[in-house]
Amino acid sequence: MSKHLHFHHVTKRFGAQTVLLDFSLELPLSCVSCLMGPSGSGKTTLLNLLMGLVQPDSGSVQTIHPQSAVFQEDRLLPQLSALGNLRLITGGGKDAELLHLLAELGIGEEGHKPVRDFSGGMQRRVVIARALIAEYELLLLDEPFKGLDADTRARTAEVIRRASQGKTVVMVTHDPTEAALLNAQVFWLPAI
Amino acid sequence: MASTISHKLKNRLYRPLAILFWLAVWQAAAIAVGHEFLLASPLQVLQSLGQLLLKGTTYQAALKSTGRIMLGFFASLVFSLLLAAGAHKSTLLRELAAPLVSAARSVPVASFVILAIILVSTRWLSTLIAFVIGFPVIYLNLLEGIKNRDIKLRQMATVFRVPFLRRLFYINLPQIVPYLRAGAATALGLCFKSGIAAEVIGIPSGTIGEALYRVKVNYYTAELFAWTIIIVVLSLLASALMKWMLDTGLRRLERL
Repeated sequence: MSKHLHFHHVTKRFGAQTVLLDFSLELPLSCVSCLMGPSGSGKTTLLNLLMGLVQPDSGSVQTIHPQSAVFQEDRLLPQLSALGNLRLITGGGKDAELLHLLAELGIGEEGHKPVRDFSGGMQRRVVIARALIAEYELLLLDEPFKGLDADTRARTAEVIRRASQGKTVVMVTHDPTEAALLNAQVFWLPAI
Repeated sequence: MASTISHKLKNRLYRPLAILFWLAVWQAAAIAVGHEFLLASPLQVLQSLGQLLLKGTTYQAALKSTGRIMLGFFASLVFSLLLAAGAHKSTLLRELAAPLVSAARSVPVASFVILAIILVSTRWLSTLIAFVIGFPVIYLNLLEGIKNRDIKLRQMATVFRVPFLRRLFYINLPQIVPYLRAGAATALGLCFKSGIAAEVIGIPSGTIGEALYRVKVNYYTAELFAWTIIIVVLSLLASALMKWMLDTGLRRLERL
């Protein structure tokens, strides 16, 4: 197995817009990497390429499985409770573990309430919990701390750091302090 | 606040007043025509409805016609579900179904009825017609619902490797049910209208259609209106039952 996630001369266009042009990058396994760069530099596209949600127009991508992700949007099922959204991934029989994780992220009592009634910050923490309870070797985080205040950010980062120890984590963010929270190695993307 | 209350009160008052107005117009028209067999008055219709409701045969006919129409409706529901699921996956199946759907939507009900009388027993006429009329409406709504599912949720399910049944019950069905609900409500109304019309043409014994045919032959307009009221009530009850079933099902999907 290669010791890297690998983008090899990748070009990706969406219609007339070129997002990545002959882009190459290697990201190390078993540590936290952070992709930073100006808006439109293709950060989210790189995560989508790693997840196989989009295919490169040319070039190749080498990734690992299984994967888990915090998407840029929450992508929760609003009708389900926080616990229900986690059970969707794990199945039944792990409630104690799930509730413990939710409590660590500051969602204790509310775990049984529908997430449509949650604030943006609470929904984001459910999204993070969902990503952490899934089985994964590669964890992809697209602006995971969006909508969280500084204290919650720090507490959440601590939970992520602990839960993802020894796994490969790739994060996308605009904020260098978020990269620091996860002790991430930063990779700057050029603007196209 | 006060203006909102007055607005609500007005709205509540206007509806019964409008109904009373049209009843008065109907009564005046009936008096002007002067012949019960041509245009019965609201009071005569009420009297006729009372008489019908006292007869056991009315309930038997209502049960028979409703049962057969509902059977056709549920058959169209199941068939549409299977076909839409298949058509979403297979372009060939979708294209194969397209002429069938167009035909079912555009061919006059009377043509279907006459063909059905030739091909099947008049006993199952309303079932067959309800099926043919209901199927394209439900099928097209379902296809639309399947097509409009949120791609981001589908991607989430793919990345997290959510198993098929959990994906179906908690991600797909909650997004499709509103389309199914709308399609089924429209289809059910059409099934009742066309099913009863088919019975009037085919005259299967002991049905609402047969009763309406007798009314037509004998010019009992009061009874015609009375049966119409019964059909509308049956259709509304069936629609409420169907919506309740779907909503109950959907509520269950909200628990995991």
